[in-house]
Amino acid sequence: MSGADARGARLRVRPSVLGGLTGRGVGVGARGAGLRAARGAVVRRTRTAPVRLGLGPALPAAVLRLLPGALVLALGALLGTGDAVRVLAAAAAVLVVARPAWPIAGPLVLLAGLAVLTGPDRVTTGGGAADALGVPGPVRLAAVLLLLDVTLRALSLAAHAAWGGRVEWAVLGRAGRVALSTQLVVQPVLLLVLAVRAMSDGAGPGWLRVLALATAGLLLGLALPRARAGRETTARWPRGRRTRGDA
Amino acid sequence: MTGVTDQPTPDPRTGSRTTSPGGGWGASGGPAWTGRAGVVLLVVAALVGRPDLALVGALAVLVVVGGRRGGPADVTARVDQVVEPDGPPGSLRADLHLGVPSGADAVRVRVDRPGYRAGEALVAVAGSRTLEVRVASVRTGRQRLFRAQLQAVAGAGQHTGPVREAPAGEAVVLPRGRGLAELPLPPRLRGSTGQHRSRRPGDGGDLRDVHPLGPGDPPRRVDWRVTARRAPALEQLYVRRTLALAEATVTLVVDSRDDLGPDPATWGGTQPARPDDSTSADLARQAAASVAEGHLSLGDRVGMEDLGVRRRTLRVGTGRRQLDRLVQQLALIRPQGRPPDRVRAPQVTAGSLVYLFSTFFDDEPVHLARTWQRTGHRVVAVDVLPQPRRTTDPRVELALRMVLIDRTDRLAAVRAAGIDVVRWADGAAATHLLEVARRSRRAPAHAGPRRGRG
Repeated sequence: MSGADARGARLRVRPSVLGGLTGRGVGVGARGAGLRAARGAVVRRTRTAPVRLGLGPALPAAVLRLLPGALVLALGALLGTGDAVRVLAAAAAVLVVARPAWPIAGPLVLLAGLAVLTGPDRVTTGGGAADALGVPGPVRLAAVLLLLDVTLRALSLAAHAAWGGRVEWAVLGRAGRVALSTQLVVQPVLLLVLAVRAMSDGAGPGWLRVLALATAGLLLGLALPRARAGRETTARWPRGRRTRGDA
Repeated sequence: MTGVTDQPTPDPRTGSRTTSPGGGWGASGGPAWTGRAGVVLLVVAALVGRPDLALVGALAVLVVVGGRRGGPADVTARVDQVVEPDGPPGSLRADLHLGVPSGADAVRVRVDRPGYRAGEALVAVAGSRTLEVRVASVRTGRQRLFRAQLQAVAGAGQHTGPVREAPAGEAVVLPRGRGLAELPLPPRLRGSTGQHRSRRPGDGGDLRDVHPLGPGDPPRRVDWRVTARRAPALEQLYVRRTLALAEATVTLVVDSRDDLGPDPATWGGTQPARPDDSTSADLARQAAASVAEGHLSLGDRVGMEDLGVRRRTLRVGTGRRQLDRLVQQLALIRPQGRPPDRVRAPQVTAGSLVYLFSTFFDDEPVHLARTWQRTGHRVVAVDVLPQPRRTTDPRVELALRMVLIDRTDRLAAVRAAGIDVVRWADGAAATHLLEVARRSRRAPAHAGPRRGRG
């Protein structure tokens, strides 16, 4: 029997319970409505106890949700000194914190690319030009590549973390290992480019551009079919809702 | 596939639910856009001759391509209730068994239960894992367990599998006894297998007297020391006679017609009681289980009657199995349908001690208690209404006062009939019961008709 049936049984069988609980001016015949009205005044949001999961070492998911925002701000600070870059970085930070599940990573990459493009060439001969803080251009670029990688990973994970949830350190560890493997490819390539630039005395050889275009074409072929498949098979995580019942 | 939610099939043996396999990995729009952005940057970098830009673009593409996954992406799940007889009281535990496909880094888990805040986490799973799920719950009886929603996550969050759901099953949470030091006795003891001292001669009890050996006295009872003192020439042998042991017959009468929490606003039935509040049914279960445990541990015979549903009657019995039957029966009591109008009081074994567990919100339990008392039973009325919580609404407060005044009058009438009333909701219930037990022992119980020799 459901809880409603049980309550119904009480309503029918124990009239004295409700007969006594009648408000001022509410007769026995109308006691149901009277009681509901009376109860409405005392209904309060009760503190609900949580369902506890036996997890390994974990941190609050709120930290993971805030992490991409902080990383975007750091990225903005690293990429440019202009107000426009900072404002854009701040806006992007707010967006990635509030809506990590939105497809923000793409625009974020484009913005980072734009900031790089409008800035000085950071892979120049002789180790690159140092900025106002004295940080050489290649070092700054290496830091940008690292931060962008971590930001994209953190953003992907944050999209699956609820504010009130928890994230196991092991999950972050795995993501960190994946990011490290990417960095192990990208950072040596940066060194390689620096070396090639140094050997070719500043200007990049023509074949390097051709190679870059070919790589872009290859990656285009790899990435786009995947994106199409992704649109078809993505499962949306249901929104959390407060459940009520006769527990 | 979007929002895949397969209906799980319950395991007929364990009642646990398992999701069915099927479905592959999918990427959200994020990685796709990231990859495209990376390619655009690469092209632009190639056109303008900026290797630093090319590196940024290549990084974006690598991030997307590196998270590539194939094969099935389904999470299988099963929720099993875990009964912890020696575990901490006031908690309900279940094990969530997870099985994830190869390539998954983590599983997004949300576990909820009616009346509770859902627990959500991103957990690392390699192949399979069992997660302990626990809530603080003071409720007993039939309870809904946990519902779990699951999704495999791969590629550091870039790819996800279909969402699966393991719906909540049901479990019966058995009440636990409190452990009572001393319990009242009925006016008459019966049988010869209990641990109570009766007033009739027999075996097992304390010394009754020393008496000259007569017909029927076994020779092993001869007290040679007394005989040597009183009859040195052995012209008369003396035997030590002892009192018999006997058991009490106890009937637990549980009023299952209502289930009221401490919040008067929930008494109408339109709102459920909070899960962290003990209701009157929970208190009745606990009180009855405590009393049954105490009496059965002394070898008494205990049975049960339900004022709400007649088929829940359990005949008196003794032993561990009877305790299991009683506890199981108590766990299942709840308001059910329209209770029949009783013409007669439920019949209880002659000379038994009757415990009546009720909220005393109507006259029926009062009438029954008086009837039993008049017919020679000792009755202990156990008031199982939780302490009502104060409300802020003056109308509800007034109505509550009126209801409680009625109830107080009924309890006064019960006391006036010579019936002991014990309030279970306060912490001194065991002390009250102890006082009742001592009062009941001042008038020593006497055994009923002899059974066998003794």
